[in-house]
Amino acid sequence: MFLEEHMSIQEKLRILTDAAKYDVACTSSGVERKGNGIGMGNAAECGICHSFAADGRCISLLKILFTNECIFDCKYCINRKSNDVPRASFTPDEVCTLTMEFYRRNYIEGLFLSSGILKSPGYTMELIYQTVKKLREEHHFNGYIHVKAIPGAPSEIIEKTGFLVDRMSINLELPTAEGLRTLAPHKTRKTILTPMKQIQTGIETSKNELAIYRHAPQFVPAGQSTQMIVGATPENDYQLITVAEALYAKYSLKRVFYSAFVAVNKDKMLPDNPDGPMLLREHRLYQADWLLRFYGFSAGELLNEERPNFNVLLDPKADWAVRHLEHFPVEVNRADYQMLLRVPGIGVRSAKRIIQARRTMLLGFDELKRLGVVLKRAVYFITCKGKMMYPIKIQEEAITSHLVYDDRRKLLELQQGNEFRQMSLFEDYKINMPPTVEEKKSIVFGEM
Amino acid sequence: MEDFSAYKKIFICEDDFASIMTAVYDAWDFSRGKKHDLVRIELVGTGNFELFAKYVEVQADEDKCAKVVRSIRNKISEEVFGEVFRGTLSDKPDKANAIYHFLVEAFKCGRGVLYNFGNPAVMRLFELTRYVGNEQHRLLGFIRFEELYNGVLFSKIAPVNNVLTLIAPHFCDRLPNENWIIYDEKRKIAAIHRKQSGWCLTSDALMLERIVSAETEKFYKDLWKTFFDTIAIEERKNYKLQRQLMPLRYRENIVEFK
Repeated sequence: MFLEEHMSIQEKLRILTDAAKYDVACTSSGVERKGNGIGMGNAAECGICHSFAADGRCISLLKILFTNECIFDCKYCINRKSNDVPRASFTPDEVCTLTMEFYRRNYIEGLFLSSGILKSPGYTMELIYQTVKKLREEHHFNGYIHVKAIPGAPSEIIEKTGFLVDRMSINLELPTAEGLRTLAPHKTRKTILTPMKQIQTGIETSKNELAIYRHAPQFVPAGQSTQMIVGATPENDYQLITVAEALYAKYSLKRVFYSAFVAVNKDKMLPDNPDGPMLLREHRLYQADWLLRFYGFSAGELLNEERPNFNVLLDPKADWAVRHLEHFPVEVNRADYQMLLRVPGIGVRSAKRIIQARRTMLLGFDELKRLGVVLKRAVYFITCKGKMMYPIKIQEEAITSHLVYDDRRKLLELQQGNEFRQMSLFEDYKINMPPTVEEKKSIVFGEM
Repeated sequence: MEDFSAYKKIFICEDDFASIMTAVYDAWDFSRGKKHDLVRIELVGTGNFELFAKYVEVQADEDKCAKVVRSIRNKISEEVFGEVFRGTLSDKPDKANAIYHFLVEAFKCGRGVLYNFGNPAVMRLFELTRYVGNEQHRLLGFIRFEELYNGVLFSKIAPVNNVLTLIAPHFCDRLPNENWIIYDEKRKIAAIHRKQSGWCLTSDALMLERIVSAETEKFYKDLWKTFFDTIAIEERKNYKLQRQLMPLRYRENIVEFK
């Protein structure tokens, strides 16, 4: 392992950004904090995106590793011990200067600091703590900070770091203990879940103290999150969302992030993904994740042992709806909030607006459109004043084919990124009819 | 004398808060005891002239404006006033008229009016303010400051809606120890903040050609560009999505796209 002594900060930033880019949890939401008048910075509950990278992902925080040196050898990770990549480390001062200077130019909303494991988990966590402490206490930085808790670090350091930052996260990496054992031999379920539990308890205690003393220090006020890799191990979607559901329920997580596996290392334990990362699968998982958190769905409703993977053609909500046509159509002017949320094309905001608006009037389709309901999807499932918009058969096949047609186009865009392509009746719709003998004959003899 | 009383009356006003409020006052005054749909407010230079209508030009009047503002705040609610104010910042030519008819409804049904989405006037104002609010939120992130030779932070924007007054308080709270200027190129107005004090709006033209960056500025710009280029994952390139989330019209003033 070769470490350059006098590397320029430009070069360090390039290496340590490159090493951090596969981490997906880059939101700046969850905490509202006014400026304190002394230092620099505040935080907005909804989070603020400052830029969007060429892959369309939001840039909100300065996402860097403290160091990409690592004593662990996780198979999927670009920074693993056995990889021959250029290594670099920041000093706490360099991280502080970068954060402050970027923040005052409004390039970023705060800092996201993760790290490879240098020497030991405890040593690394201490370095992160020192950096964050410097940033908060010497530079009086009052903006958003998200740090990774290092699995296996002593609980005291995690505790004191928690009082300085807004969000902490520990990556679960793989949904099953089995997967973890094969791909991340230095991490165990226990070293990941113990700090997760500790942070959860810390947050609850802090909330209780805050209720008594208004100025009690806040512990991880924006909550904790985690991340799972999708497609590196053979787990199915049902396993993934069941784990996510359990994490929300048992560890009160704010977010679970999913990252489509990108094959950065060649390894016989890993799939080689010739078609690139499974972006569609990741997309479906996020859709389902929203359904779990905001729409009152449970994992068991969306998938089960017999149907363990999401429909490629339909989003999870529409998929659920066409399989449960006994609940539809729903009368928009009377249905309760929970039922409105289950209609494809109606989201949290439009459902709330419907509830508000119908206090004063009977809603028709025009009003719904203006309230932000996606009628294109909703028409198959709703009635307004007792009437549907078009005469549609409430039948699974009929509705599915309508919905799929719309979805299909979006899907193709997602899979193919920017390439424009002529739609092909035969390829896209799998209409595969070989010419009959008569047709072949007629072509040969020119009897067209 | 011909009798104009059955004709439509159209009030023409300038595109600023005081003028629009004055026009609302005058229109209200005119339509007392009549139907409100005989009245319309238009901005100067928008729309075509109409037959069988009487046109009146409105002169901005501090007193009338203050009266309208006071009535909205006292008789309806602070929240409704906020919506009306944000409506006046919209770039849509029908905003003055939308505000007037919204207020007609608002004085009738009180603070609950904001949820009365079935009413076309309420809905229209909602659409306008939603657009203003979205752009305001976007700009909180998309503003880029550069440091000038004297340490002042300078930023140039060209938003579709006139959102400068909405975003300045955010930066006042965030950067209390900096001297900064946010300049709206399109409307030739600037928000100016002095270290450890409040901010003010000025319409003095800035001489942009005299602006000189600090020496360290290029260093941090380059660092930021390095970060920006490196953070994207090659295998996930998706320029279409990027364009959707960060429309081209903003990029002119964003350093990493220059």
